[in-house]
Amino acid sequence: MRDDIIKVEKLDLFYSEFQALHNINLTIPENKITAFIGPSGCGKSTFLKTLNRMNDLVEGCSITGGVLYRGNDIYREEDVFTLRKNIGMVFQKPNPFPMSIFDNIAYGPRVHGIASKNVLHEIVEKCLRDVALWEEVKDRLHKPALSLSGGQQQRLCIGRVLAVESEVILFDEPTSALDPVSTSKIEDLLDKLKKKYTIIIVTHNMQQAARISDRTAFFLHGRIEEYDDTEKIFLNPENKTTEEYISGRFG
Amino acid sequence: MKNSNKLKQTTDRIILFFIYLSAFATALILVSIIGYITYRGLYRESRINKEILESRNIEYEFDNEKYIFLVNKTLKRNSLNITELDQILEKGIKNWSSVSETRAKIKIISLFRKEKEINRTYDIRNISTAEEMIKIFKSEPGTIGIIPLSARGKINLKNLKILYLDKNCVAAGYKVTEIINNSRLAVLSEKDLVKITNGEVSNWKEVKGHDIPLEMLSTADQVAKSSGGFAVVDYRKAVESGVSIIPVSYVRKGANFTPGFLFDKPAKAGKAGGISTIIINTLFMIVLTLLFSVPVGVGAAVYLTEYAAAGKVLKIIRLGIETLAGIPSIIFGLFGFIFFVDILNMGIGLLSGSLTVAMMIIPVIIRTSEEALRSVPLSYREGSLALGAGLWYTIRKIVLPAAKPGILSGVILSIGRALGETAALVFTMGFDYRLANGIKSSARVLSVHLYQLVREGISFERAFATAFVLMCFIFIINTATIALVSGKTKYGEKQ
Repeated sequence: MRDDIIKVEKLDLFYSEFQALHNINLTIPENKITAFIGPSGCGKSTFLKTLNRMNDLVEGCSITGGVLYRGNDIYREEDVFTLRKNIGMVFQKPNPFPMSIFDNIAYGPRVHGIASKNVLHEIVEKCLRDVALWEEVKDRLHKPALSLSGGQQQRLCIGRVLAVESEVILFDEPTSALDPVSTSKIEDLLDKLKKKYTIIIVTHNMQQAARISDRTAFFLHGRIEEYDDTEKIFLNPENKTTEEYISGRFG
Repeated sequence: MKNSNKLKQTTDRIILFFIYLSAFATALILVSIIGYITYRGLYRESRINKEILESRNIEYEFDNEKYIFLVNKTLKRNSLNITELDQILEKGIKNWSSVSETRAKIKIISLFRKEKEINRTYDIRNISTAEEMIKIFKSEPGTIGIIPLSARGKINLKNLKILYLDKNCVAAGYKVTEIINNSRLAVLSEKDLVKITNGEVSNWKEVKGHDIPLEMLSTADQVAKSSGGFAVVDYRKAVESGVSIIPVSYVRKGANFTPGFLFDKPAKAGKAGGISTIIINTLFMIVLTLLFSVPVGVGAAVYLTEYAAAGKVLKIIRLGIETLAGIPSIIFGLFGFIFFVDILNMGIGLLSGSLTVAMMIIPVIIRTSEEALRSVPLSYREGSLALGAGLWYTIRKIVLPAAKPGILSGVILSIGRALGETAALVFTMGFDYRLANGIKSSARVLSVHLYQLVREGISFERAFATAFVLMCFIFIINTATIALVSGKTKYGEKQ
């Protein structure tokens, strides 16, 4: 399909001896929200990390198979830095750097060689507007980012990814540490962002997956049990275990 | 059941009591040590034994004529004793530095004297007018002016003072200082001397002597013939007659620590002057040590926490660091002496000493820096790497700044360790208390100075003053550490 931005083929992943992912095959459509659901330890977060090679940091982690990003196998490419620029990531716990709000957003562009103050300022303003944080922080851009609330911090972290002009953004349970109001703000934000970005989100919250995603993959024991349009997964799953999980019978 | 509960309660109470006791005892011991050093550092109450009494005469008699001696007010000496004065007049002592803390050439002039004996005997320059004399005092600060007592009123004493002359001593009969039953009267206290001269003492045992009646006499010759005689006589006459002389102990009270102690150069092996050059040498040593140890220590810590893969090599490195941190400093001193001084031929000096101390504190810096680096949340690193930054960029821009307070506090604590280091420096940096004039020049630091003052019995007062300065330095350093650790970093949370 022409719209597929990421294609995963026969992916197996091992932590030393332990096989965490078994024969994963799936495609991620562009400018859509894809959700990964499943019980704890099913491998959904692990799989997310393979998409921008953050699993490189885990000792003893090895993979076989291929992850194609726009047709290129990311594990054959040498340039992991450009890959991570193109496929950004937002983590479970907000992790702003211990610097000012401005420097947090400007960090990524600076990494990739932008030094001009004016350009940085434009980027910061645009990104903060995109994550609906500009009005709240425009008067204290040079205050510590850690002084923001948890929800604001998480939006800042999203803005930080937008600043490097990623095409795909991976979200690893981005709202699990947040209160309901902040959560709904983030969800609204994701919905807006999908016009420009491809979004992949791992979530424990099935209502969240149902609310915001277009496609949903159900993971179990390191395998994809079912992967389909969200509506179909939630209303009419083909697989019996999927139905049992969604209806809350285990997990 | 009830009984066992009661027993438990009692045991708890006893244990609690011991815990309180140990806590308070430790606090008490520390406070008293610090208090004692501060007290002795600031305040002096020492005894000195003098054969020649502080009689504070002003005249000097020569050929039946009386003279007084004038000196500049700035001279750090108010009195001279008769033997010192003889040596000065006979040109055995040519500079004030031999008898005081002032460094100035001694020049003797006399006024209103014409071809009189004192000038001929001692070769003293004659001055004819008071104005000329004042002029010489201005140009030569070490001048001693001798004028007849009768001319005292004719000189303007504005910037001058009259030098006191001490010339008397206590003479005692031959039995008084004899050794009986392994004890003898070696020294008289000032109080006892006053008691004797006031006629309140009739037996030597009242002033801690033997059981001999005390006989008040007036000349040295009389005393020499007596068994329990006592007289205050001219020191030179006492020496001539061969009578026993009993020293008198004087109690000196007053400030031990003066600004001069911080700002003056040391002199006479540390007996005189201050510790200014030693403080500066100490700073040199600290700066050099940090220059060597901080890059290596922090670099090693970064390698160990951020780059090194867990394995046997890492374990061995860790073990090495732990061991190094526990090795006594004298062993580092020995190593420094063999390796830096001898094999690398750096000589005993700042360079060898600083390198040795650096070796000693590197393990401390590595351990504290590692701790600080490890306390930087993994999420910072992940966040940076996920934006496409390299590992080194991440370490430089995120990890090191976040770990800075912790690293700094480790560095500052190790400065404290370097400040107190003595054993490692004795072999490698030497004892020269002059200002170091190069990286290879021998230099004495505060702790080594303290060690020398006590070891060679030079001056306990100065040792305590030095200890006080050293303690103040450590106190300042510790306060800075606490401020750094508890204070907020610029953009971070409270550490």
